[in-house]
Amino acid sequence: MIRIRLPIILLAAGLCLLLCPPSWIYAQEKPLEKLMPIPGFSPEWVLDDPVKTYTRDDLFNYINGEAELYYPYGFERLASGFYAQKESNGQIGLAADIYKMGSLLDAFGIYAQYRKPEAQFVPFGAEGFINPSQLIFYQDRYFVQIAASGTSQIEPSILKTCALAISKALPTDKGKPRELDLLSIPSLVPQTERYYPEGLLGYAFFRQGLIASALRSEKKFRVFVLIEKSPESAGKILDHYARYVKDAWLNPTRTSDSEGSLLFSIDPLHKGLLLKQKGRFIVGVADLESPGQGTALIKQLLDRLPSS
Amino acid sequence: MESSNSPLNRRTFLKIGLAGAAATAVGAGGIRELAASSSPQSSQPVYRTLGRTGLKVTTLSFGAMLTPEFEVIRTGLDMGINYVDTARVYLGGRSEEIVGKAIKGIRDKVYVATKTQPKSNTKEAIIKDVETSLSNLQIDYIDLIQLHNLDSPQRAFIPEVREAYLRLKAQGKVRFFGITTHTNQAAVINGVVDDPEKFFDTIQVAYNFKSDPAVKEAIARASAAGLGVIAMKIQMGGYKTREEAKALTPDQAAANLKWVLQDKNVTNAIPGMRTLEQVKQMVSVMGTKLTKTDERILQGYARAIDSYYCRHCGQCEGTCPKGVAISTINRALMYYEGYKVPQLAKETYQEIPAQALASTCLSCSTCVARCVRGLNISRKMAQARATFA
Repeated sequence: MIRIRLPIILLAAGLCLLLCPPSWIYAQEKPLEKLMPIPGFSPEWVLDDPVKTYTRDDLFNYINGEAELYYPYGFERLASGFYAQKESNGQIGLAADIYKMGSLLDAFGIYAQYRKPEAQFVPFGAEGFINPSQLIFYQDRYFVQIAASGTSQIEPSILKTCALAISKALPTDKGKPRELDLLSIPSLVPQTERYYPEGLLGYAFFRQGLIASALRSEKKFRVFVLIEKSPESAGKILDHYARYVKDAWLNPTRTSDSEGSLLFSIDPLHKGLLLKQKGRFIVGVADLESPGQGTALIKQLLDRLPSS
Repeated sequence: MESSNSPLNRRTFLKIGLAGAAATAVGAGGIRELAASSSPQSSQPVYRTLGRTGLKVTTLSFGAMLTPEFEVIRTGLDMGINYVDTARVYLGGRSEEIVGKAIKGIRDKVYVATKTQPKSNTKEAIIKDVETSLSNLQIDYIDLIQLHNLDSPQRAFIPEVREAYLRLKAQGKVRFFGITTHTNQAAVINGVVDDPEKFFDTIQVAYNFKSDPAVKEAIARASAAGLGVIAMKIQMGGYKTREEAKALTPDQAAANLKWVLQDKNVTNAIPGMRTLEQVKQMVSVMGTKLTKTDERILQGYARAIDSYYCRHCGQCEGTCPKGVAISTINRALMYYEGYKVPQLAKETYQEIPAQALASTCLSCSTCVARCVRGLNISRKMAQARATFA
C-alpha cells in the first residue's frame, strides 16, 4: 500500500511545485533584469527604456570609479531601470538599481558602506533606509538602490512603492547575515556594523572581518572580529601585527592563556589596540587609551564566538 | 614643471621628536606620522603644476573613494601627498565625510577635489550638491569642483551649469573647475580643449598603459592648452574581482603608476588606496623612473590580462558543438565596449543567424568551447547575452 502511495504523493507534490512554485524558487530562476517591475511599479511610473544590465567589465560605465568598491563584495551583475513619471513629461524619474552580490554577507557589506546610524530605517528586505531622494535596502544577496532623478526631493511613498515591488520579485528575505551575531554585544552602537572582505582597519594583513562602534563608560571605541580559516592562520595574523608595530618602534605586550594570545599595542593609526585570539577568530578593540579600557569589551566579544 | 623639496623634513623631525613620546603617550596624529616615516622606501614628494590653476600638487595624489578608514588617508597626507579626490556620490556622501575627518586640522596643506552628482545639470541641483559637499567635508571651500562622468562634450557647455559654477566661485565656495570622463574620452577631452571660453581648468581621465592612443594624444593637447590632467584608473581595473585583486602584485601596481607619471602631460595620478600598505608602496614610487624591469612587468601584466581580450582568430568556433558564432559575437562586444559604437555592435550582432547567437549557449550546462589564448568564452557569451538582450 505504502509502495503505491509514495510515488503518487511525490508526483502530486511535484505537480504542485510545478504549477505553484514557492516564491523563492521562482525568483531565483528569474534573470536579474526580470526582477525589475515591468512595465512600471505603478500606473504613473513606467519604464522609460529597456532595463540595462552591467557586468564586472562595464560597471564603471554606470557608476564610474565607485565600481571598484563593489568588486571585493563579489559583484556579479547589475540591472538598472529608469522609471519616468508620466505627468512630468519625463522630467522627473526614478533610477532603480538591483545589484547581485556574492552572498548575503556581501550584500550586507556593500549596503553598510552607505548606511549611517542616524538614518531613517524602513522595513524592506533585511534592512533598508530612506532619505529625501533615495531608498536603499538589501535582501538575500541583492543590494537595491532607488534614487530620484530630476529632483532632490520626492514623496517617500513613491520610493516605498517601488521598493516594495522590487522586494516582492526578489528571493524571500533571509534576514541579516548570521555573522552579525559575532558583534551583537551589549555595548554595540546599533546600525554601526560593517563588513570588510579585505583590509580591515586599513591594514592588508587584517583580512576578512566585521567592525562596529561600541560605547563603554560614555566613551566610544571600535570593536571588531577577524574571521580566519584556521587557528594557525589567525595566529600568523597576530604575529604579523606584532611585527608591524615593532617595525614602527612601538612595543606590543603579549600574554597567553588556555584560550589563546592577548596582545596590546599603541597602534600607528588607531590609538591603542587590544587583540585576543580564540581559535580561528581574533577579536579586538581600537581607539583605546589604555588596555584596561578594552578588557570588558573583549570579554563581551569572546562570549559571542561559537564554542567550537 | 616638476619639483621636489625637503622641508626639514617634517617627517624626520617628527620621527626624532616622537620616538620617545610614543612609548608613553597615545597621540594618534603623532604616532600616525611615525608610522608614515617608518616606510623603508619613503621618498620625497614630487610636485607638478595643475595646469592653469597654478596649484603645485603631488604627482601621487589620493583617490579616496575606496578608503573606509580616514586614518589611512591622513597617513598618506602625512607622508607628503597634498591632493585628495572624492565625489559627492561616493558612498552616498560618506566618502566626503571620511575625507573631511582626514583633513581636519591640515586643511591649508591639502587641496580638496570633489564632484557634483553625475545627473545634476540644473543650477539648483549643482548649488545644492556643492553645499552638501562642503557640509560633508566640514570645510569652507573646495579647491576643485568637477562635472562628473561626461560621456560627450555637450554637458560641459550647458549654460545653466556654467552659471551655477561661476556663482559658486564668486561666493568663494569653489576655486577651480574641472570635468571627469570615462567614456568617449578623446572626444570629451578635445571638446573641452577647444572651448573658446576656456571655462574648465582640469580634466580627469582614465589613463593607463593599455589606453587608446587617441586618449594619449588628447591628453597631450589638453596639457598644451593649459589644462591640468588628472589620471585615474591607472591600475586598469586590476581590482575587478577578488582573484584579480590578488593577481595585481605591488610591483605591477607600482609599474602602472610609473608608466602614467612618465608621461609629463599628466599632472597627477589618483589611485584608490584602501590600506596603509598600498599607500606606502605608492608613495615610495613617487619620483622614481620607469625601468626596464618595470617595462617587463607591464609586458607580463599585459600578457596576463590578454585572456580577457578576443583576437578574433576564430579557432574557438570549431570547438563549440552548437555552432555559436563566438568570434563574431566577441567582435560585436568589442565594438560595444572597446570602440563605444553601440549601433555598429548591434548591427554586427543582428547579422548573426539566430541559431548561432549567444542565447544558444543557454542549452549547454557547461561550456566546452576553448580559446587558444585562454579567453573565458562562457563568460563572454553571458556578457553578450546581457549586452544585446
